[in-house]
Amino acid sequence: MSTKDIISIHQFCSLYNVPDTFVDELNDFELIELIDFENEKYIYKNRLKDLERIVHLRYELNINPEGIDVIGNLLNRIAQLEDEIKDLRNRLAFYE
Amino acid sequence: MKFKDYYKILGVNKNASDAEIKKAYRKLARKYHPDVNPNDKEAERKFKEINEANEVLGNPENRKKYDQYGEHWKHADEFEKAGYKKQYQHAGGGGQQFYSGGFTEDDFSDFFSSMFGGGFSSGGFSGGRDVKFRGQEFHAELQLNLSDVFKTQKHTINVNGKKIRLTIPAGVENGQEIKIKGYGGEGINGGPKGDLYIKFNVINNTPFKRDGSNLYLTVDLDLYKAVLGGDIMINTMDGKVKLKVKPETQNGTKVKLRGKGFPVYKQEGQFGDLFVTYNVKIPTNLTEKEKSLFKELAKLR
Repeated sequence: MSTKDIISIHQFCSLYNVPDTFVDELNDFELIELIDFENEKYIYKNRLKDLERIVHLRYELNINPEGIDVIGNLLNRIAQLEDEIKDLRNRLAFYE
Repeated sequence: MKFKDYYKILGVNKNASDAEIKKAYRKLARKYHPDVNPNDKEAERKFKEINEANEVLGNPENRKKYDQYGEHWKHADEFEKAGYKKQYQHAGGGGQQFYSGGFTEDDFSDFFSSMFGGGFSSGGFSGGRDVKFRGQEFHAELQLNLSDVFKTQKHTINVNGKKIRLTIPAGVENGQEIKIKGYGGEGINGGPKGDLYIKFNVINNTPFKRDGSNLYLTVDLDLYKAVLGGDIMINTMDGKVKLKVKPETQNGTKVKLRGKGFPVYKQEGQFGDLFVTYNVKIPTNLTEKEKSLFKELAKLR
């Protein structure tokens, strides 16, 4: 594992002004995956987008981790349905 | 420039208390927040609008100025001259909460800028898509013709003044989005660059209908060739081919031309099939002689 692919949770929390314990809580809810490396916790940089979204939901919309989990599942479902709609629209064009 | 009714935008009446405004704003923010409405431009527009409304109505000084001038906002300058102290640029937010949304002050309406200048009170939107670490995501759309995506091609696109060379693999689908890692906005504090997302709008400029990598074509076949058989030339995506029509071919007969369809996305050298449907054309404007010959044929049956 290369450190250029990961970011320390401590650094993230201080940049985003959220307590470190928040990320532990997310880990407990299996909303994010933490990596232990040289006695420090990290997250993969390619998961930053997810973590940012979670921070916005938690601190801007006051949604608790359970709610964030539900929203995440629904958004995934919406993304799947949007993909399906795209395919169906392309097929519909076939008959028009 | 159009007057903006911020009370209407938040769905509150003009006598609404600060608490009512805050409540209305938070309710709408939950509905239109970009993190719960990904890729929804209409939600993004509404979110910007309610943030602007909250910027004005959620700040006592701004609200006072807005209420006083309302639709006569063009005279607001006189208000400034009368000694009104601009506090909004320094205010700490007064308990307001701002949501991230990837906005800058440019996202405020002309009406807002005209009345309140370019500044906003609480240091912009919190937790922002004002970049803290990871660079901003960029989204772009590229329009292509179906005939163009038959072959892998290179395109140079301009995103935020930066030229980006793209290789678009043959067989890309209409509506397909690709991610180009690291071509979004700059990160800060050592953060990674954002990503660029490009959505392809593929316009069908061909006579073929497309279903994935298979193509479909309907060709007219004259009655005599359908009955007696013969050769016809048809167009495919990469040139003409000769087809043998069997005698007594029925209207609607479908033939498959293996490998003459569209390239399979990212499977070099693989192609779908082309399905040709015959549409038998019955002759019209028959001469007397033709009619009598058809009658003769009819009698034979």
